Amino acid sequence: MHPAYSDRIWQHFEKPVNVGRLDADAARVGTGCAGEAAHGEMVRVQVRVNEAGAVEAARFKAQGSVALIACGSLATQQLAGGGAEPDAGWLSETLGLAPVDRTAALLVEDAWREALADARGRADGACDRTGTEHCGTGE
Amino acid sequence: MRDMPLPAYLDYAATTPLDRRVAEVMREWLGERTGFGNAASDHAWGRTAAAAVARAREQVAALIGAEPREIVWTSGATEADNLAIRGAVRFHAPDGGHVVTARTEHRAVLDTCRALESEGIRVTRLVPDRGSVIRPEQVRRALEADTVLVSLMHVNNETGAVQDIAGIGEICREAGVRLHVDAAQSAGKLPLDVRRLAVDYMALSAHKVYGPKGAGALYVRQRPRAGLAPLIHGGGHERGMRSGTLATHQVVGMGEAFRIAAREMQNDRRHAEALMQRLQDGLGGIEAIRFNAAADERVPWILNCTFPGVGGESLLAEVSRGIAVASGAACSSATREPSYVLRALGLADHEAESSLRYSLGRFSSREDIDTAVTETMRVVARLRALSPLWEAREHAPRVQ
Repeated sequence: MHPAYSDRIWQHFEKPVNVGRLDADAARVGTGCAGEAAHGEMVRVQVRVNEAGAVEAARFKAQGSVALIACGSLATQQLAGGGAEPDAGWLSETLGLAPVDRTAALLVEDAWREALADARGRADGACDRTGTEHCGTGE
Repeated sequence: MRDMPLPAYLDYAATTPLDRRVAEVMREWLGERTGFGNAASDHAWGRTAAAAVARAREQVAALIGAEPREIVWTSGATEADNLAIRGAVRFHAPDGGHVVTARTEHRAVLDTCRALESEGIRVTRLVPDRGSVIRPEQVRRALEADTVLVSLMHVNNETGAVQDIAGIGEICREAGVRLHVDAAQSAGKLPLDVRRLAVDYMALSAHKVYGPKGAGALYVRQRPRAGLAPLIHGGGHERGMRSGTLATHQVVGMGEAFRIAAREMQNDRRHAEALMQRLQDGLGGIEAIRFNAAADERVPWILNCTFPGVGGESLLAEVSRGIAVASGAACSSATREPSYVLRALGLADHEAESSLRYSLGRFSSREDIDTAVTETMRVVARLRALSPLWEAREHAPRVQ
């Protein structure tokens, strides 16, 4: 598919799933971001959880490397579909990331963990919205 | 990759295709029975090769207004840059001195200067303004009492910016400092006349102008004598300045490429100008695009643009399936680091990374340009639709 990337990476980069945004103000929706806007690299993950705290929907947007976009796509697919947690190790292994691209997996893991904690916190009635204002949600 | 069509070629600043006419002339010197003689041999086989080399030397010299004996064959412009800088410093300042160059030079120049620094030579690296041009006045201010050499390129390989070689040459000549010009990107494309320019050394490349790779030359001024210490010893070829048996077919190919370039320069330029206009008009439709050299200060066959709102690696990975372009210089792409040339012009790392260089030439077509525009627009739009930063920008209030 692309001489420099594995088929799995390229597939998620070229046809990413779960691209977009959830209404950040809605109940049980959490937002997490990782990266540095000043360095032109940013991933935002949003999740909506049900009353039991399980992920119902996940969305992402990312600007950065091919690996970052691929990790955002695969992580949200995994979060919404259930199954193993898409931590950086799982993402790197599943996509066959080169060592130089593993930081992308770490960023995506940071973002979804923050989003999930935010969503569960809001579901519990907390209203801490840390970390969302710097990542392009327009808030 | 095997089943995919090759992308449209827009990387002429990296290398150009061999002109079919050049290939035909070269082939005559690759035959089993003729043309294999050593140009240094004193018999019929050698003399035949020597005559061909002499003719090629005339052709290369003619393109830049030089005398044939001022041309020294090398393996390419990189070797010519090494020979000029190191050779001039060794000849004129064996005990140490000062060299002036710029941060936007090719690595062949910068790495040679760095190597000299480790041997005790002091180096000043000028920083061009945002338009990527070095002003002659900057050169004057950088000169010191023991400056032996100024080394600046004519046309920048990444931005296409044209330096005022005539103005810089006058300043160097007044100060008694030698000037080396890397003309790899301009020879055969812009008129060059060393009789009118105070240039002492000039690096030339064959493969940037539809000749073969592995062939280049260094112009070394005879009057006033530039002076040069050799780097390669053994046999005293090229009047002692560059030993080694000449590759007749390569040399002949470079001569033919330069002969054709001299004749077709105007046509090539008109062709490039028309296509560049089309490219610029097309890409100009992309919101927030930035051109990294002013149109009136660059050649009409290199265009370097920055696309905010996309990751550089993603951009290059996706567009390169449809078009062959460069992200920074080909030499620096291999290291996957942002272009030092663009950083020297004041771009942030991520801005340099999300920049592409389009370069076109004699065999570029309108279809190539249209593919480049369509593909770039498609990829930039897709990646921006994925970007949370671009989304934030679109939601942010506009400043009038």
